[in-house]
Amino acid sequence: MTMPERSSAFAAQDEEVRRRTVQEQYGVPLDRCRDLLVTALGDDSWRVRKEAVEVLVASRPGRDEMRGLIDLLRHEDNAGLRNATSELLVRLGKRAVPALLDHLQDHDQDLRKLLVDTLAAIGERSAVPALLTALDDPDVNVAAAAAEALGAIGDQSAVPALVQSLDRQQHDFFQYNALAALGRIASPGPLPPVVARLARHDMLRLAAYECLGKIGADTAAADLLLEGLQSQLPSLRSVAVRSLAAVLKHLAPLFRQTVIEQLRTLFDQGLLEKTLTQAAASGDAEVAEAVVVLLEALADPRSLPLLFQAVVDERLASRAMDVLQSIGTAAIAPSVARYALADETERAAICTLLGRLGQLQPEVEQTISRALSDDVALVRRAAAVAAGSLPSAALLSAVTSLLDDEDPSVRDAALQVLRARGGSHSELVREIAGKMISSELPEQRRVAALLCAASGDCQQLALLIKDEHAAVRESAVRAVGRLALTASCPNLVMALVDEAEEVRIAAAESLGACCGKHDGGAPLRLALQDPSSWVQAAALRSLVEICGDEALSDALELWQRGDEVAQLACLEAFDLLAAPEGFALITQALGQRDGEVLKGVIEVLARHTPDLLLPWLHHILRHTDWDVRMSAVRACASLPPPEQHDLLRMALDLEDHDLVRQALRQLLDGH
Amino acid sequence: MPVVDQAIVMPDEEFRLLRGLVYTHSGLYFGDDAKYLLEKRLGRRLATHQLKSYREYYQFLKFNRKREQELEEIMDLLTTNETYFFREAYQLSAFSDEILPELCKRKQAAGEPRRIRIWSAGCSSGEEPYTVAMLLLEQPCLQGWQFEIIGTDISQRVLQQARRGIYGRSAFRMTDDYYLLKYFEPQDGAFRITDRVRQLVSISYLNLLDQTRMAMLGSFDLIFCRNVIIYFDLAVKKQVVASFHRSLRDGGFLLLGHSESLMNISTLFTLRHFKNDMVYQKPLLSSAGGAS
Repeated sequence: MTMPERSSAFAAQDEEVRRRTVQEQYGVPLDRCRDLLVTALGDDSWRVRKEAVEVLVASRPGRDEMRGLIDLLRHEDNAGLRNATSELLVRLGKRAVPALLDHLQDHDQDLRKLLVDTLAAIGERSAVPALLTALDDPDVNVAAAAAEALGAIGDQSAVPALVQSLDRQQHDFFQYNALAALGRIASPGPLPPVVARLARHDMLRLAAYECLGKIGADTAAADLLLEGLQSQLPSLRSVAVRSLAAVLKHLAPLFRQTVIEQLRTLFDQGLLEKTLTQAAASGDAEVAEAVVVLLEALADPRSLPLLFQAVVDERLASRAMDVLQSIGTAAIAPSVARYALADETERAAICTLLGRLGQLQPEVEQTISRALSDDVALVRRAAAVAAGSLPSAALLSAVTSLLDDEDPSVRDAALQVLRARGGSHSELVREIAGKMISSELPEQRRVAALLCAASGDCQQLALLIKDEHAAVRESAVRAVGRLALTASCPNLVMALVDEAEEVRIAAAESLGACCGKHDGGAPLRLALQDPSSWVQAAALRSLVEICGDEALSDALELWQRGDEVAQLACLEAFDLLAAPEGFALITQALGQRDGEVLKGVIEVLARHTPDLLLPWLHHILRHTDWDVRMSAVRACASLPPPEQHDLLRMALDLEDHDLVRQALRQLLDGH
Repeated sequence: MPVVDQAIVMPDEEFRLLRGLVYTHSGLYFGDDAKYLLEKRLGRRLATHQLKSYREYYQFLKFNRKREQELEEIMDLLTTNETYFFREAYQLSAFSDEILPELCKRKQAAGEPRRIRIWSAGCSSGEEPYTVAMLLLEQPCLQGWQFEIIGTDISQRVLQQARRGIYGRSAFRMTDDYYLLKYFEPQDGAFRITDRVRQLVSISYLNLLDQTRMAMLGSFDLIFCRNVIIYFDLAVKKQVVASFHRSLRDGGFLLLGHSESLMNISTLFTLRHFKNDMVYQKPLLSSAGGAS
């Protein structure tokens, strides 16, 4: 399509035609389609504007063209054009920064404000000096935007200037933004006097409280926030709760205890419960978490309703349950009292708590017994687990009825409980297993094998090992291994040639526990030739267990021909046997690409012979997979300091993955 | 006393690796703040396989010959979300009172077959496609029309529930008794959807990243995809929305959840302002297979 055709198409009324016309400019040199794209940036339709932004980003405009784009921000009468241009400049990112900085002294304060906002969105550190200057811009909107931008960029070198600016610039709007910026970038430490002063300023209290939560680490900050807990405004109270929880983490133990005592006094005076209840219901996940942190500090039975409320939230459940448990036996009676009216999630939580507390009181036994037949699977499951933690034969017996529950998670929990208690209640568990052995259902017989293992019933296991169903045989073979039944060695050897791979894997694993070098060594060596690499891996592990150093040659041979699964088992063998031949062999794999094996090789060599690893680390620290680089970074810790430091510095310069960078920094700081 | 259900801590490194596996398989993206979710929901899988660490579990998922089966289990655990009939009533009003009459009129004017196909993408346990079916049956202008509703999800467990079509009380928190009496039958303390509704709905497994299987579903007049794309990162959102665009007929509608929009995701759809809700529409001008 020619340019005139394009223009006429663009003038068409239909939005979809205009959008497609813009889309067609992909790849067209910018000097041939600039006017059309600029027109499109100011189009009435957001779809056309967005498409124009995409095409302009792809066209990679130069610095002069960017100046032209910046001028579009002066169009006060077309908000769509200004917004689309701002978005475009943000999308151009680092490349747009020099052009943006060129205009920061422009006479138009609205333009300066837009440019500062754009720099904030780009987040480029090279803009920080110019933004520090802009903190003193004659227009307060620009200065406030500069403070906000410094917070967004997150360069800590801006902290002193921001603190000073709070004293210098008296405008509330500026101070609000500067406090927010400080909260984003400053580290916890002594409270600057100006922040403490502003925390008592009505208009700035919210921002100051937010800031205190980030930078407060002393009792001065905690005192201000304790005041905040009693504010008339719910929003202020919520922020005070969140910030106080954060400050508590940074306080020295003695000061922390003082603050907790003050919190307890507020609780006793009835001044805290409402605040925490409302904060927990605020819908803000961070505030709800902070409420749990404060309740953890208080460890008070009166906080049970709030803690059960938190348990319902998956994010807080684990921590809230820990707090409930820390309250101890004082939590039992009120928890049991809540059960009748609790919803299903809370009923399950109550069961979990009663199980964890492990105190068998009549009302506890009654509650768990009732919960075992609850309509909701979640509750039955929690009750089964709780029954497993309580010293009650009656409850344990009731758990057996859940072995054929309709819900698989309940059946699984019941089975786990009975297996865990098989030693202490072997008669009961044997009796249950005995009934299930004669079942026609393979799943029941599989469960029976697990229960026989738990109760040490070797006779029944010997029968189940010959079951017609593979899953039952596998289960029985594993059970024999778990019991280390030496008499079953011949059965296990036979199981090594079973037609089902799962059974052969289980047999190879169990042979290590049941057989000695003489009766187990030869069959396991043959199992190394099994077509399944999982059987090979299991056989090697067992060989190492029963033959020790004599298995080294088998591991060396398997390494040469095995796949990743077998090689991972070989690495374990070389590691266990501390075998120099093995280390020399695996060094040859340091140039290979596969992540998991390579990671294993790095870890083993770092533990035993870092000198073999050293020549490769330059190369591995540039590996494409971040998790391989992470292993290499950890391996650097085993090197002598000079080599270690040089490698870590080099890696930090190259590294772009946040977790690996964090590990590198930690090692360098330690160094 | 032996402890059952002991929690194993998920290190950051394994969280990132497992997150990557889940993302590659399904497009579901878990931000750093959702680590608790992976740790809590995957914890039981470690117990099931008797693994001692998440590193072992990662290797299991990478190398085990049952890895595909295990990934399906993970999808069940990670995508379980509560839903109910007649959820987001204002959007359903836009669907019944404004979109359906418009679709009906347009098809009649164009002389197209009297047939409507609707896709409920991410249908969970089936409440959404059955709700849509009931609303279609109640639509006066569609008497005598043919309907087909396809419900898909990545979790096999919820698909079983959807096919079974039996629901407890909590699924009806927003359901008028009129619908409960007309389209459900009591069964063992719960309610079973009637065959009249069931026959309009087909339930099927679908990974929204699977372009081939998606193409097999054919084209639709309307797609419901509510509270699904929030779980994807930007790249997958773009990919999935472009697929929806391909699957929709010209002038077809895309209904997202109330907190979802196509802002910064796609310019392929226009935003229609109905009285009851705002809804995305594939422009009538675009051709099948449309620009993307």
